[in-house]
Amino acid sequence: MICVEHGRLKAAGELARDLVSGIPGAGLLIVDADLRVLLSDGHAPCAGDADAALGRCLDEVVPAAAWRILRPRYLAALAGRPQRFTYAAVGEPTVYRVRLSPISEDGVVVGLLLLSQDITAQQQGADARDLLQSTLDSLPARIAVIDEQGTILVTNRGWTACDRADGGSVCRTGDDYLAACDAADGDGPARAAAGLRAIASGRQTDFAMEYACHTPEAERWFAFTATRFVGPGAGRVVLSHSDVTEGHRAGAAAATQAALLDEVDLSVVATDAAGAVTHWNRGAQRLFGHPSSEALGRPAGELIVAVDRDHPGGLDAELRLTGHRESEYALRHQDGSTFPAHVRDRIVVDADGEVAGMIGVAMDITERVASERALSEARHYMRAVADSMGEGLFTLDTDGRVIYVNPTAEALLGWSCAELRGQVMHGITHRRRADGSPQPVEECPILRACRDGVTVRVDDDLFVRRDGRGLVVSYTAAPFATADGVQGCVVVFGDISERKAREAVQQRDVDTLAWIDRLHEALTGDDFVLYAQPIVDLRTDEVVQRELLLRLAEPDGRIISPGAFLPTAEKYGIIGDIDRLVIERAADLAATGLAVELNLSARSIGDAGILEHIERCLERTGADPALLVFEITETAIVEDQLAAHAFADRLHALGSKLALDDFGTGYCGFTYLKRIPVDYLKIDMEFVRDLTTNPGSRHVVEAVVALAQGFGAETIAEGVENAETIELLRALGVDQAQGYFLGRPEPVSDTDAGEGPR
Amino acid sequence: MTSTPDPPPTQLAQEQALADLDQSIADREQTLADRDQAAVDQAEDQLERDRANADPADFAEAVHLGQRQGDVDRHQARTDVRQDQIDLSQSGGNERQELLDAQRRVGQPPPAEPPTTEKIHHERGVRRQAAIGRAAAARERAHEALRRAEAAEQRARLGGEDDA
Repeated sequence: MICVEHGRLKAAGELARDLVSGIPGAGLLIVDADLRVLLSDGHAPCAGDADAALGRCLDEVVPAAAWRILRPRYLAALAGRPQRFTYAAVGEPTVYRVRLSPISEDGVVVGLLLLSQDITAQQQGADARDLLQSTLDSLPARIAVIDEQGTILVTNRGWTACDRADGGSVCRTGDDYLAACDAADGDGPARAAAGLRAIASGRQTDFAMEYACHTPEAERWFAFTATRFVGPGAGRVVLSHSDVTEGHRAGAAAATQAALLDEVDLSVVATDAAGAVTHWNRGAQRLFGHPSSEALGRPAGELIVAVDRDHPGGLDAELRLTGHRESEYALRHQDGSTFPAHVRDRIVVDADGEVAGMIGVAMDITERVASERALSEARHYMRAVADSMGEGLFTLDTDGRVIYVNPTAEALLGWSCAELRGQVMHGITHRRRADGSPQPVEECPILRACRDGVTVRVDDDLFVRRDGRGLVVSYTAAPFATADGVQGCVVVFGDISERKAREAVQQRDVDTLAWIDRLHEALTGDDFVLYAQPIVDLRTDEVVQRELLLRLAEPDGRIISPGAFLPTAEKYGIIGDIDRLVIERAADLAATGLAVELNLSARSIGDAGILEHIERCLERTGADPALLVFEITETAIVEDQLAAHAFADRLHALGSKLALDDFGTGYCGFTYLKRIPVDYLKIDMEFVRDLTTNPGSRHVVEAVVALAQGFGAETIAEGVENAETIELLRALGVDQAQGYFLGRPEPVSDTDAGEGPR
Repeated sequence: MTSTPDPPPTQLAQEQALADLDQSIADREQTLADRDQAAVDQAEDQLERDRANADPADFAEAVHLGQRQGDVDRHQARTDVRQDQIDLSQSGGNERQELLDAQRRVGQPPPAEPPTTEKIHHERGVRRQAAIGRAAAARERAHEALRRAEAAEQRARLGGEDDA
């Protein structure tokens, strides 16, 4: 505050004016308490012309926009508070430093003294420095400027921040950077100091290097660059440290990737958007023969050439549209040779989605092609083997579904491979056992091989053909497995029908030989026993005779029916001896008074000696020949009607009788009855058993009865099993009957021997 | 009181008795064959019903039906063979009967008691009726055989179309 008397105010002001007039850029303004201009040198800001402003109020002199800014200052000063501020009018380049002081008299502010100085130039310099500093601070690098001695003149915010981050280990403004480098350990600081000195001395214009600056927490890499400072002043070198850790890592990763790509046995080729090669790994060099140095920059289509069909080799419309392309080609090596290759191309897009290039991966598939060819040849070979087999073969998966059927199996089963493929084999061919019973799939041996991986051998089983006929087979079901486990089974089978038939014949032959021996034994050992079944006269219901039935008594007590041994006996000529034995025993029984019927074989009818034997037996025993009825079959008569006729005549001449057994079943007509005298026609049980239910059987019996009557014979019905049949037989006029209903065959005993004829 | 013994049978009567027996056996065979054919027809009808109700996509069922058809066809073949034999035998029997009828018309050395005219006519009528019956049955069997053949042809044609 300037305290002056009013009268002296103006004088003091004039003195101040004179003082400041020598100071470049200075300005003076004195106003009274009413802000009326008392003195002005015309240089104060916004004060206008000095003479024009005298006596006028400032609000009349100062422009309104400026007055809005300055008025609070003036009022504050009038209130006794001195003001120091920098003022620049809006839109004007001039900058003033202003000092506004109150002038007081007796403690009362009577006016204001304004001193100003034009600091525009100073301000511009400061602004420039601020701009420069701001620019430096904006850069992420740590930047400093040093003088020729190495003293740091200027640093940026990055340098300062790093300083703080490093805890003060970095040099500050004013520090000797070169000395710090000289004092630091390692090769890096020494190289940096050498570079800086070279630039400061003018021997070099720039220097650059990278160095590591690891902390326990992380590994970091920095790039150190230094260039000559071209500005005024003492600065000589601008140096910067940039954190290149990310780039270093990316570069290391890229180098690692490139190294890895070089190690893989694949060709990896990258191109730019124009199709020029940007990356050509070692695999590409091996595959195509062109070194990387030759390939880089060249159109990929010149280096990757297909011989069998077009491979674009680069970015064509299709690849751009679909984004990828994959196929197999025959490619050409630089040396002219060709090789099969699998090629996969993909486009690469940038952050904006634009095509930036292409990456292609190619692989030599010569071995794979050869393996596939070998596999195909092997497959064809195996198929040829399977197709040539004389046995049937089919393969099934683990669910029992058909995979393959060879031609022999097709022929045996009646199905084609195409029809069976995919179908469950069990339900088609194997759902019945050999004995005809159902075979559940769970019990199927073939399925066991498929599922359990067990080889199964079955010597006698049944497959059902397409037409439903059975096929007797033997088979082996063997699992086939891969590295993944059991995949199914292979079944090889053969038709054993002929073998089974041969075995049956062989068995029959064996059995026959056994029976031959047994029968001879029985003859000598007296093992044959006679059973007798009563024959009842339907007119009197009395037993009038008995049919003798031959049995064989085994040592173990079993009684064997004649059906088991008579065919063998007839075939091998033993039947004659058996007939003779029966005749002997029948004669013995007849000698006791029993009327008996005995069966004679066809062979015996033609044997002239048999009748002599009959005669001898009759003579020996003294039996009444009329008590003997000899049964022969129609077949025996038809085989040799002459012999049968002679036999019948001689038999009748002896006084015995002849019965035709199983009458009605022969398919040879009955005309022989006109020539051969027959005493009894024994109606076959076939016509007797359904007599009550089958009118046809009834008609047959009627006809037999009529026939018998026409030929003077009697009828005997065989196989009577119930009373109804008896009654009907009686009604139809049948003479006699036999059957279980009338009496079962019983062993002939001594009691029977004494009962006499009935 | 004494009864007059039955006169000895004539040769023709014996021949006729033999022929009648043959015929009765043949008739019985035919009855049995007809029953067998009825069983085959029933099996075929059931097979047709099952086939109509079968799921066309069920391969196993189609296989089973085919195998049953094979069984039925074989049974039919056996029945046909048997019928052929019966027919052949019947043809022989017919010829034989015609010969006997001819002999009867021509006559033979008079027996002690020649058969009455009425008896001759009656027997002839019986035989004629039997022959007519047999002919009708044979015609019926022929119609059935034709129907079975047409059905088998249709099945074969449909089966060929399915394979196509």
